[in-house]
Amino acid sequence: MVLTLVIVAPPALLLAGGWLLAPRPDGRGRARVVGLMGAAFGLASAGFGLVAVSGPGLVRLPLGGMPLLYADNLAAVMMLLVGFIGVIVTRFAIRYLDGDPTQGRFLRWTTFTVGAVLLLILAGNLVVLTVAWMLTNLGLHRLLMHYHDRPEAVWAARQKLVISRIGNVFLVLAVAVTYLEFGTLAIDELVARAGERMATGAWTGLTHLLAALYVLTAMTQSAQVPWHSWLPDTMETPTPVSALMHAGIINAGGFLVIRLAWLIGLSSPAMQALALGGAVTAWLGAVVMLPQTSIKRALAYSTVAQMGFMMIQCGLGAFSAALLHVVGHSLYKAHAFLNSGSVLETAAGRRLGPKPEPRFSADLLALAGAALAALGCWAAATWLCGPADHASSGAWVLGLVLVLALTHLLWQAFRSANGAVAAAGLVAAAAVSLAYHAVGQHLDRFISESLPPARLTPVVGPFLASGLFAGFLGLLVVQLMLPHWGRGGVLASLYVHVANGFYADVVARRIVERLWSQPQTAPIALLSQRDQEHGEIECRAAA
Amino acid sequence: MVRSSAGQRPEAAERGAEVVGLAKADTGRYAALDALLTEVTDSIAPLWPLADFVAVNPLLGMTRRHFLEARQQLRHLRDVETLMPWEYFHELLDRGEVSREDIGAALHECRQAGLHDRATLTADRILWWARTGGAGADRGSADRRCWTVAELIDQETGTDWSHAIRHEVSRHCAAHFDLGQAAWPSPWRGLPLYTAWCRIARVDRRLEKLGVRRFCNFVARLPESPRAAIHLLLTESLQVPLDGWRNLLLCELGTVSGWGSYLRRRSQEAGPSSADEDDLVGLLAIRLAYDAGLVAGGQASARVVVALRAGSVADIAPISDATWARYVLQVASEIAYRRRLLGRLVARPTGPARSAVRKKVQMVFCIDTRSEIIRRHLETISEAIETFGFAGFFGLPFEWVPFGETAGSAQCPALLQPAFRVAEELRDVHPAARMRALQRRRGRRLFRRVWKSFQTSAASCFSFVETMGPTFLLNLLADSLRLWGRRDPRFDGVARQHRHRLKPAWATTDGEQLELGTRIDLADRLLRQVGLTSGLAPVVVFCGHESETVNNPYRAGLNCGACGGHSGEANARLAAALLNDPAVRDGLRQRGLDLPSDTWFLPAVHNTTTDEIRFTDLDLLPTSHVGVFGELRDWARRAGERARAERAGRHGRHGPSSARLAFRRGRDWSEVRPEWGLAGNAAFIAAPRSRTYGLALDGRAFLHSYDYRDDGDGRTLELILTAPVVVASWINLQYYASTVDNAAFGSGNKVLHNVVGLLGVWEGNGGDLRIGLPWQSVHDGQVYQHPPLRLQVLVEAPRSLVSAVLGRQPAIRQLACGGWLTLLALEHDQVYRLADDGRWAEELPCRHAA
Repeated sequence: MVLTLVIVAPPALLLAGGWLLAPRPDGRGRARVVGLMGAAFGLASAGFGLVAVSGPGLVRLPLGGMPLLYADNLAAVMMLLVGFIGVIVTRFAIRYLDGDPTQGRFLRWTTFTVGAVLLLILAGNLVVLTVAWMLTNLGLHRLLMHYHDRPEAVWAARQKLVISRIGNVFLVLAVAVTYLEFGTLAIDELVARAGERMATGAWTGLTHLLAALYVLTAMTQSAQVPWHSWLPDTMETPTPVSALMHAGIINAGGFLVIRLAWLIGLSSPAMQALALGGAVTAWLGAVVMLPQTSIKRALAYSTVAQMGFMMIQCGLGAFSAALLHVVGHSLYKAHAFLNSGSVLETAAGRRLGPKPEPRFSADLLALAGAALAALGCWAAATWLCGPADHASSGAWVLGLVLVLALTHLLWQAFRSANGAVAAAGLVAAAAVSLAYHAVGQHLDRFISESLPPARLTPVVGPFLASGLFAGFLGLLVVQLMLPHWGRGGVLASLYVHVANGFYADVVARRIVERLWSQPQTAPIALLSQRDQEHGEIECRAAA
Repeated sequence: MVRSSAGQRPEAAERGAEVVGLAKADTGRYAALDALLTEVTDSIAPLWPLADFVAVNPLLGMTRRHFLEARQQLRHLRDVETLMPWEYFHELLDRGEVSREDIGAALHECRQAGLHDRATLTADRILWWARTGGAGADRGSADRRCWTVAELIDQETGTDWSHAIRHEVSRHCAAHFDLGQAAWPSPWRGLPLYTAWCRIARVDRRLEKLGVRRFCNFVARLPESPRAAIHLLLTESLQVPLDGWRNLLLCELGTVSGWGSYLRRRSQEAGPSSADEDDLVGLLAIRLAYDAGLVAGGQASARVVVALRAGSVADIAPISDATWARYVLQVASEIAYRRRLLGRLVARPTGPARSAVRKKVQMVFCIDTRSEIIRRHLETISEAIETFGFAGFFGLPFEWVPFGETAGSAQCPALLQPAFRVAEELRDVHPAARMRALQRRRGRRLFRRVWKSFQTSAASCFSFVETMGPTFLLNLLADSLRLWGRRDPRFDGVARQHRHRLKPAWATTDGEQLELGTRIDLADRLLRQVGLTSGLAPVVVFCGHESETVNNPYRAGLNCGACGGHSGEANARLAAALLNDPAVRDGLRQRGLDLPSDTWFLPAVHNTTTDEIRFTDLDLLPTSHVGVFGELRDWARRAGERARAERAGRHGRHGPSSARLAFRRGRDWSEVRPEWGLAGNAAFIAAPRSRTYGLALDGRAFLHSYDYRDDGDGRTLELILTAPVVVASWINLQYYASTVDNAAFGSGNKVLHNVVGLLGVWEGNGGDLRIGLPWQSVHDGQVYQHPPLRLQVLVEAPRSLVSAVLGRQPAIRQLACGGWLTLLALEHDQVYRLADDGRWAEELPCRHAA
């Protein structure tokens, strides 16, 4: 009974609370909103505790017994995370938007959106999930349109709206196919039936279709390529919206995949497509992040890359690692956005005298040493903590990513030619690999009941594995070579195209233009014949 | 010495080698253009990077004209505004802050100065217009007559090319001048801006994808030199008549005025150079090239091109009656303030300028308006305190190099260049301990770089998030609940017990000491200009000031502007060290300045967010002065409490707990209004303290100590009028412009700010670099915390002295007579105002007939 209350209350409070409390434009009543958020977070924490101790809780409708909300360990973790982010963002917005006549509206929609995300997390059947998905996107649209008199905000919101609608279509289709295939929409029953299918190996064409549809839905929500172009253009909304969005809403796609891992795991092609899409996104996001000159845009591309990596982990069957990534990314990104005014202060903390010129031989030696030390750290951590439980080849690829990251860290530490820094780098690398293994395993054990066991999830093929391997190695090479790229040639031209984000946003804008039939920049086809001729004359004159 | 900034400067040789051939023979051809370019680039005000942000008058390039004439000129070319709207004056009238008599006096003032002779403009009519929002007022023809190609196309077809182009230009400039935000810097950074843009725009497909045909080819055919490019674009591509070049160039520059301001500052710092090396000229060329590219790419119809040419030669619109009326209302609001200020000032009895009794403590504060409050409370608490106002850098222009670094920041006003370098040293410690501290500092900062690269590099960001991401839970909690403060990088590597030993050393990083003669000169000038030549107290405090704020890109704007946007602590400590030096004291004695042997100079820092005064270098304090210092510390604490309570009222909070809010605001990462800074500034008073003693000026006045009786030849007055008054005028006009038109002269909404290149902010996704102050710094959501009033400068000196100084300094005269500030002279308890026609008018607190 207590569990029921604790599960139902947070989303209900937040979804309704924004309107009932009605913070006024002059800001009075806003402390009550923070109180409401805090209460929801408190209930979420209590729910986490109860679920962790006494097992999953199911809330059914009084008549008919249809499951409405389902709180297992996975949902408990996400609930805690989203509740925490909600409280932090709301508290931040109290002072940050002080004096802004739209503060009341902002707080109302923030509360609503966080409530919708909580409902999504706790959804016990696919209908509730779909409704919560649409409510989340509605809330996000309202938040993106907060300053609707700013044209850039409108463009970004419209791009996201188009992508959300596409995602909604995919989701509704997926739910329909699920009902056709399994005959039920309740998540716990679906999990049971999918488990039987997995064990017996009975797949049908519809299984692949529904897995593919869920994958597509998740990709539209989590800003995967090609549905990522709207994210870097969302800086026309207040900073807390960016923090909430990157920390709580973008990863809804990842949550969907993890929640329905039993269904998606039935289809090996879908998993591979997910990993491939994630890899392309991670690569694109990580590379385009490098030349960005403004802090928020760099953070946006970083989110694109991180979401791509999360999808890789899901596609490899490492669902618990993906959840860890979601949690880590949410906390990191929320802090990064809210703290984005401090870039000057933190840059001052890195000021040194003139840097010595990099020497190629010294760098190479440092690289070799770093690679060895990284391998050593990873091996030591694996030996200490034991191997990961999730799918074997997936674990190898992810372990490799960690080794490459540690190589980069240690290389930077070694080439600084400072003993203390090198030692600190080694200690940091050891701590990082230990944290990765230990925390990863604990989380894995915690949510293992919500996920398909490793032996049943599809094994990633050798081609995909080596492709991922090559991709991450390529990222490391790109990073190492950056300081040495000169002015001429292909690589310099590449800089221009990368800085433009490979023109993805231009394409997206043109599509949105056409849909809203409002030319922002007139395409050539709309020019009249006379103007085209005139253009020719001017062109010759300029020659 | 070149004023240093936090970033890298390209090598001059590299630039010269890359700029391909503009031979000497071509200079004749471009002579007319060169003159124009100088005029155009002079019309824009400089902008400092965020780390050294200081207030600059955004209308600096227009001050040669009268205020209204400048407004018309600006509005001819840009969509800007320099007068408040009718609704604002209506509110002033409703609140009773401006009366009908004030309007009458304003009309009289304007007419007396010969500015206009419109008989139809009466006080009643102006009142009617103010109350009805200008109903029935003749608004005249539209002021904006000159547009760029992009704007004309947008008007015709409803597209948004001007925004797209502004975004493009801004993106290129940000990548080119980035001070370290991007992990992959632009490969063409070392080149001049225009050359780099040519290389990039030849490859960049964005504009072509947006619909401009063959833009890359167009750029490839442009000349290598920006001057030649401008000449070609104006004569052949756009075919603008010669008479219209000036207006069109100003109009084009106006669309990217943020980056133009930044490049103007760089040009000024680099010194004179040829137009081809001037990046501001390059920016003009780039902007023109986009316009011409639109035409060449078929986006501009024939109508647009014709309109462009016609607009460039159009006449400036005459000033309409409605504009005159609003100007009169503005003058009336200033008259109302002046009336109240002078009434209180002149009514006070003036005693002797300085009391005969020797004070216990004398404190020299910066002229900053925030100092007025704490000075008043200190003097109220104890009569044994005497305060002075002087420029916050204490006459010491130096480059401050922090411990362990090689380059530093300029600790002097933006008008000056640093004259010498001062390094921060760890004094009175064993050399081995000093080396250890240096190594620890270096190691800590190196590790921070390594960790940052782990955090943001493409290869390792994924693992970073997965392993270190959850630890940010602590950061979020700590920042949100203010559990612990942020580590100050100033103390990196220095053990806690040694922190107070970090002191400014006269020995520069090259090991050379500043010459004794120079030091004596500096000390002599400082004492004479402050007015501390006799009657020195046992303890004389030099009090610099700084602000305390967190997560705020504009923190330098709240610091001491006289110290270049940095804390005044280094200057205060150096000034005290200078005057405590026995060798310097001997030298001063030889020059006739015999300081009492028991006078000790003590440095202090006033925290303007919390109104705390922190005394430094206490380990050097002689034991004989410990008693006086104890009293001083207690007075400072109590004065701080009262000052906090008074200032809390401005944040709309009253009551005993409100004062504690000041502490929260300085440490809250989500606070967008940590303190009001100089908002509300309206007056500059150069007079002995006895004139303003005890007067509550609400923190709205710059107070500079000045006694004309010690200044026979007017040299000190000249110095005051040409330096502190100009700085105060810059501050005043920046606040004014940011209040009147925040979109054009301010930096917009703080919640949308996006720090770009570590040197400035964008508002939102992109757009032009923002100048000026954010809306949150002038408005609290309900009322304007900065009522827009032009500076009223009151000098207690004979009119003849002031006139003599103005004769020698025509620039100040132009400011005073051009409507940029009001100059008042207080002579024998009678106040005179310098009218716009250059004559002194009597200014009494009595009414004038309309």
